Amino acid sequence: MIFCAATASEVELSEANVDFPALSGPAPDLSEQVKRTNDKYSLPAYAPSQTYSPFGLACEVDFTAAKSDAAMVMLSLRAPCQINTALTVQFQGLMFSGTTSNIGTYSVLVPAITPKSEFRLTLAGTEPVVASVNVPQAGQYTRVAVQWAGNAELQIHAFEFGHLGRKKHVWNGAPQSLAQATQARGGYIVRLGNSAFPNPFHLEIYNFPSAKVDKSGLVRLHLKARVTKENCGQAQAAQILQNAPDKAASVMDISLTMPACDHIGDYLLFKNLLKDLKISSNQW
Amino acid sequence: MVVCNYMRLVYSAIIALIAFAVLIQPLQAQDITLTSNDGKVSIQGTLQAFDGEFYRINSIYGAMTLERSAVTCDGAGCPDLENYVAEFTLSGALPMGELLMPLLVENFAKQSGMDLRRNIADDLNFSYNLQLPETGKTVARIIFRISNTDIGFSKLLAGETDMVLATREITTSETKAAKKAGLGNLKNAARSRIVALDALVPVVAMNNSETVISIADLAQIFAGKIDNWQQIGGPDAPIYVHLRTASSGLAQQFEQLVMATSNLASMPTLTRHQTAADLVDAVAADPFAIGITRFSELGSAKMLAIKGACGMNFQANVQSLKTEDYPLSAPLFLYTPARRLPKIAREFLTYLGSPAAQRVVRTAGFVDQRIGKIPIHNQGRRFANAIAAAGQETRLTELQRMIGTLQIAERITPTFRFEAGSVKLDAQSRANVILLARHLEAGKYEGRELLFVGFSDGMGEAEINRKISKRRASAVKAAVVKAADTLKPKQQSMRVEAFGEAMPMACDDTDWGRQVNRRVEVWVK
Repeated sequence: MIFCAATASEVELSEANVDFPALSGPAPDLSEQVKRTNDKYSLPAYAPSQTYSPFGLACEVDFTAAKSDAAMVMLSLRAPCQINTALTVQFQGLMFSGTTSNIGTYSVLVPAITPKSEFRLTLAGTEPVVASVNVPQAGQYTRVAVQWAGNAELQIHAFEFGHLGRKKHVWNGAPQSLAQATQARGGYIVRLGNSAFPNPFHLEIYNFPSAKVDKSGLVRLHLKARVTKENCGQAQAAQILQNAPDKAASVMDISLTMPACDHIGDYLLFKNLLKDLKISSNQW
Repeated sequence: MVVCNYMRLVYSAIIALIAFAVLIQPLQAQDITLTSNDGKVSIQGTLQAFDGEFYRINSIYGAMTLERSAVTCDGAGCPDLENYVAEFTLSGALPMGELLMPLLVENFAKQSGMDLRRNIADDLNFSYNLQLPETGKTVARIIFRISNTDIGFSKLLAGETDMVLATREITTSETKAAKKAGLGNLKNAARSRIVALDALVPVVAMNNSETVISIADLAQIFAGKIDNWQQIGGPDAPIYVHLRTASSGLAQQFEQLVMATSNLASMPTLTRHQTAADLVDAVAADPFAIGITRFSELGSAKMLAIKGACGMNFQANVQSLKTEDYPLSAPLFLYTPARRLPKIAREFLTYLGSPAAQRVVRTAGFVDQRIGKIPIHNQGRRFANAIAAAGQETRLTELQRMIGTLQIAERITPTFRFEAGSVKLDAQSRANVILLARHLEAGKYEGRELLFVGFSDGMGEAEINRKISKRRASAVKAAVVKAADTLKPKQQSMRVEAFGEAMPMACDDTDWGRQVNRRVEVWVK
């Protein structure tokens, strides 16, 4: 896949005329070589009990959390011996799924819900690893989250009203960017979780810089749920979390009654489930 | 059908007979036998209902209510005591059901240490499961059926709800019907309570230049008699008028508080909205629109103050709603029938009066009922009004006496006002009687003197007005003392004062102005 800023009049690039080295497929097994190399040199010390990845990297798990823009947290994992492995990340009662790359790395940008944030990452079949970080700016953001398991589609729809009643619709189809928030112009949507593995955990978070905007106004929040062949005629379970700046929030279980299966593809609209955000400033 | 094995039935000490009907979970009529714990008495009958604490059965002795702990139940119709789930239903007005009451239920569950699950059919029909955190077992279910206040009351009459969410007071005909249906006197203080304070407010878009409007102009606009902003000093542009649907409590109150006092009715061509949220969003986007919403749902629209003809404006805010100095107050009510509700429902009702619940009320954007203090420096405007309004009837000596009395005291928010053309306290004031009584019982003002200060409108002679206002202040004081059951004589020092028409809040040229002026304030010294 190529992203190219060139216009059509310039050289056209396509996957056909560029030869990339294959990154997929079985990696070369260098582990035996590493062991032999260590016989000759004193550093790095070879521990007989240590196991190594096919790339010759020690089978360790390194998980870090670092503060980023807009009170987001960059989570980074290096687990060379767990390539293409399913994982889950848990924080503040929220959870989403991911997968390590074919060299055992994984990184993701996650909104901090509270100033002191602890993230717990569990690779399939292993003990969880924990990373924590202080994000003092977390209190400036309102976060509204919905999470669900399996193949369903839930969406947060935010209607941001400017002070002249103009309306901006922010949702997964028009998620806006983090720059909206850092420039105090509005909110943005972050969607986490992939569906490469059975029964994945999905998480969608709407982020609004409540303490940063200098206008009074309102954000109406709606939840939409798609009727799918998996949930039609049944209850769709999900969880919601809504925090206000400097206010603790807890996750609440919800159960949505889905219509019969002749409505597959339709969306249900819930206007009262998420609390509208009232933005006030001293300006008015 | 009904058989009784034992004809001698004198163990009334063991078996509690309760006069009220229990109707929480109607069950399939099935024969059961209830036997007293000592085995001496047993009754057969058809089980009508079970609320977790009491069995209600139809026996040959008629309807009987028996305490669960005093008897054992045998027969196929016996309820599953282990897995019993208590439930109760709240029906009625959207402004209460869409956010306020759900937040209160959520906080109530949290306070009780229970987990929650919200089951949603749609925005108007949903329920909460209250679960034990250890086992996840559901112990109670709280059901919401949201429509409007009218339908809430009719559901109560039909036995389909346990609580009514009402944005207005119960009407006389609804009260009669409820009495007839054996639901008791819903006007009674034990059957009705105010959950939160709120008010009707006129709104326009932020970029509309108006900031105040008189009640008379408002009525003319909604009647279609004023249809251009130019007629009230604005630009030459048509006025687009927005109101909630006619069946909503909000629209009904507006007709009563604003239109009826001007002998007008709202025009049929105005734009009606299903929800206050839809209304304010439409108004906020149109600089030539005006609408009526609630203080609790302003959206991104701009609130207009109410203009009094003598230059005194009334802005809706937390303080003016608590004191009812803002003329279009519209508190939110909860009504319960005179029958035994499940324990969890009774606990929820108790919770509604707690400080925790009052905090939730504020978080939800409504005004709570905690007593606030009004600092003396906020009184300057009112004293200035008093001086401005002083004339032949109110002499300087009277003004000096008033200011001398009040400037060393501090006003608190509970204020007592009367129903239109009546000596009866209005709903919010009746709630204030109870509220103040609880504070006195708790000794909140011990060691200080409480002044009940009467004021009147300016119609008629000043001396007579002073006497009338003193009589009203005495009546309010007596009502508070009567409601404070555990207050010992001499525990609280209290005094009645009256200044008649000396400090008007509004002009006396309108009904609502006179009603705002007729009041009893409470000052603490």
